[in-house]
Amino acid sequence: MPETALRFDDVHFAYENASISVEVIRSLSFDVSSHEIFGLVGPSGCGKTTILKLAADLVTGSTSGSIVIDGTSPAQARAERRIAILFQRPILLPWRNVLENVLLPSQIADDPPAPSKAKAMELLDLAGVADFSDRPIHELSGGMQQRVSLVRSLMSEPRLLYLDEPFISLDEVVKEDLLQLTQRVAQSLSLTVLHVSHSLEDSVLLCDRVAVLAPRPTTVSQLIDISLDRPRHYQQRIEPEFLEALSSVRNAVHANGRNALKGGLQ
Amino acid sequence: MTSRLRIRLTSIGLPALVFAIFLVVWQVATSALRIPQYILPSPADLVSAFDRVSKTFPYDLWVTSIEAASGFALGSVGGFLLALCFARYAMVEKSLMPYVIAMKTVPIVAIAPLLVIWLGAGLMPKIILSALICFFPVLISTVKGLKEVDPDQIDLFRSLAATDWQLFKWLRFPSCMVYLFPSLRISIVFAVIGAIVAEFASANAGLGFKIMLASFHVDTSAMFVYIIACALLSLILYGIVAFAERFAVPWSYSERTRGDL
Ligand SMILES: Nc1ncnc2c1ncn2[C@@H]1O[C@H](COP(=O)(O)OP(=O)(O)O)[C@@H](O)[C@H]1O
Ligand SMILES: [Mg+2]
Repeated sequence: MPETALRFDDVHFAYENASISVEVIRSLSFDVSSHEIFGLVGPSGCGKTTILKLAADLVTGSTSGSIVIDGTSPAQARAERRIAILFQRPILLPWRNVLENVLLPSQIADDPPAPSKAKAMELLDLAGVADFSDRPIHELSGGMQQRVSLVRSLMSEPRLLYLDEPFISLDEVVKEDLLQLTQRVAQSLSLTVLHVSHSLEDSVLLCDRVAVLAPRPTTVSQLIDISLDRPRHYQQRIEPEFLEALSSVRNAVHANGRNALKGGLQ
Repeated sequence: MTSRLRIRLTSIGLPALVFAIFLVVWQVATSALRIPQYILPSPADLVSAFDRVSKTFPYDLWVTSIEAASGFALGSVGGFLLALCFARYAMVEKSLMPYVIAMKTVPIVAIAPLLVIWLGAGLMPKIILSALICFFPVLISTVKGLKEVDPDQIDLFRSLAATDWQLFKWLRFPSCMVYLFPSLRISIVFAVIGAIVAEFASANAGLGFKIMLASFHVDTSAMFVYIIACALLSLILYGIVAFAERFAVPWSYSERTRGDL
């Protein structure tokens, strides 16, 4: 029985703005095992980003149920910098160059500069962007920027990595590279990964297990094991095993009674 | 010839050609229509008027430049510091912001004569008036800039458990620069206006003062010379701020030029 890295147990959540309350999550439960890549798939606006932010202690609203991260609360996990998030957009600071952006987490944690810099260069090299370390951000393509963001998220040596549809706005070739890089990094650093996306294809390619979310207020409608071999390649998405896994996720999505999913097939 | 160079040449050459034609038409029209010099002097009249005032001209230019630049420095630094104070102490902002908004709509130049009574005819009232005009736009845009930070960037910092001070120095402060510079570009122009209006109220040197003096003598040619000097001064000071912006916020500058092309 593998250890549980992240557990949502009967979580309810609603945003509280002035007088109105927006219910986003209703009775959400799932477990993510250590070193697993776990995916949440659901239509846009169903609350995926909200789930990640809840699990990272970044939202306030009315909450019930429990979220446990390696035995502690999300707030404590955040304070101890055990979580890193890769957002949908590369959130880089335009007034810093590539290396300075990557060094931000070490600066915030007040780590000694010299070893941090060495670590940053090593990770940039691993991500294939070391040559750009002294470039300003606006000279980089979207894919490069997302790589730099990924490198930055690894600087704090997190146990958990949250991915909020980081591949959605990238073109095919870049997406392929980044999917590969993410798998490699997750394995070599033994990260636990929580990936949320509306793309069935990305989720099946990346994840060990996929939870299909119902539309808002969201909850898990079905859990599906994706037992494809690793490392997985983007080209694999036309192979029978992949298509079979994809169609099982697709069926689960359709079983929700809604065809609101974008991406994936059709 | 590369197309880039051709674009350059036409973007400088065409306006220059228009200007030359304008001067010629002006010169020909004023002599052909026998327009009296005190109504509209010809370009040639302006050249001789400039020659006439050239002894004192540098000093007047210097005085007005100093007034405008000092007022700009004082006003924008003051506005910036108060904005930092607003950002740090919400109570201060809550109590003062309504007045700041109200002051923005007040034509501050109207108090020029009052400043002369309080501060005399020297540099002081001009600097203070310029400073007051610069103060409000800088204050307001800095307050806005410190607040309107990308919420995702704030989430990034929070996810890294950044302290408030780290959030300020590495996020709020640099991201407010993008808002600050456009207001500085406006303020430097306002500062020149402030200096000139204050000189109208009372002075013994400066471009604005010389415009008044020339108007008393119906010396229209000299007025034109000083008015053109005011325009050029304003343009040059604006250019200096815009140039500084390129170095201080290169990311915003490059985004802007990319958007324009
Ligand atoms: N700060 C907020 N206040 C109120 N409602 C919000 C807020 N943020 C998101 N929502 C709403 O919550 C729902 C889920 O949003 P989100 O988690 O971003 O969905 P997803 O990431 O799946 O697209 C959406 O309907 C959105 O409008
Ligand atoms: Mg989202």
